Amino acid sequence: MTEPQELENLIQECKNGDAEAFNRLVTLYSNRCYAYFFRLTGKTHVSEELLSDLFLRLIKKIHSFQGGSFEKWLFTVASNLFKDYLRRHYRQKQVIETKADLIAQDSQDDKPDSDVSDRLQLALEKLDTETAELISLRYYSEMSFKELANMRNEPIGTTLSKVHRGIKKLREIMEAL
Amino acid sequence: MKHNNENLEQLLQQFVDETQAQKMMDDIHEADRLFDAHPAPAVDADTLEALRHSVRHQVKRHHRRHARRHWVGIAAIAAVLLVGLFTMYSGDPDSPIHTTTPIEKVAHAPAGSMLDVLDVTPWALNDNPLDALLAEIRSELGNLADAINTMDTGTYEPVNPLRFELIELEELEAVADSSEFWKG
Repeated sequence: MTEPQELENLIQECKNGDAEAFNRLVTLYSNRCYAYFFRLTGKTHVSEELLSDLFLRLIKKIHSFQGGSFEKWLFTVASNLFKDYLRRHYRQKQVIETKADLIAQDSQDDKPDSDVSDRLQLALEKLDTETAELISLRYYSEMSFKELANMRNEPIGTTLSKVHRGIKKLREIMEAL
Repeated sequence: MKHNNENLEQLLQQFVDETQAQKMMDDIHEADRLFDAHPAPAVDADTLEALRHSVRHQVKRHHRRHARRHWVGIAAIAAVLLVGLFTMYSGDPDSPIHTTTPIEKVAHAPAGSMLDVLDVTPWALNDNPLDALLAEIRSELGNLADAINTMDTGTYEPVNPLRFELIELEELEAVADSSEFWKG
């Protein structure tokens, strides 16, 4: 785990345009960010694309980071990227669904839609997107509940209650699988 | 995996009673164990290497573009300053870059200094340059008419070139006259 001062120096080096400093950030955060994307999309290639987009966006936006929790800032960017992906995905799906000749093919594609690795992944896919995202954020961003609530601009009690309800539902789904 | 359960118990007790808080804590800890037991896949080594390469390339590109934008900004500011300085000093008669117009020259000439006034072209002295042109044409026409009269009464000389010049000058006068119609 990186010390706060060490991380601060690393971010300053990134702001100065040091490519190797950015690559140290990649080493530090790529697995957690990839896991976050994978748990939400269930697809290896989509998660890899989103991970790449995230770090490329980071290069452009690093100057807007003005201190505070880096995890909160990083996962806010990641969350926005995921929402952009969802919008694109639903738009594409709508286009496909209007074409009758592609419906059959689309339904066939739905079956191997995720690169399923475990029961947890299957259960997460059965949750609504907001709850799945909140739980993924909780486990992969490693933010505290206070930071999570802050990131989502909602009272801490609301975040706590949503996470608790979400994990109870997740356990129920897993037991039913 | 690190689970950030910072002050969870105290936090929960702010919203629910102790028993309920304990129940919620147990559920959260159980979910923590569940996530530990099902680790998400890690990024593929080749993907990570490609990402590092892409980041290196993008940082250099971004840095170059940023530097270019920085210098273009500086050049633009310098150009604006230069134009501003030029405008400011060209309006000041004491400035070395101030240029004097002929009208200003006459206006600023010391009383009795005829040389300065003579330097000025008639265009500058006359408010209407067209009037000056007409006066010049009329004077030329007068000279030509005198020359033709002399020719008619004197020795033979080819007249055609002179007549062409006369026609040309008459046409010029007509043009000058016609361009005055708008003055009323």
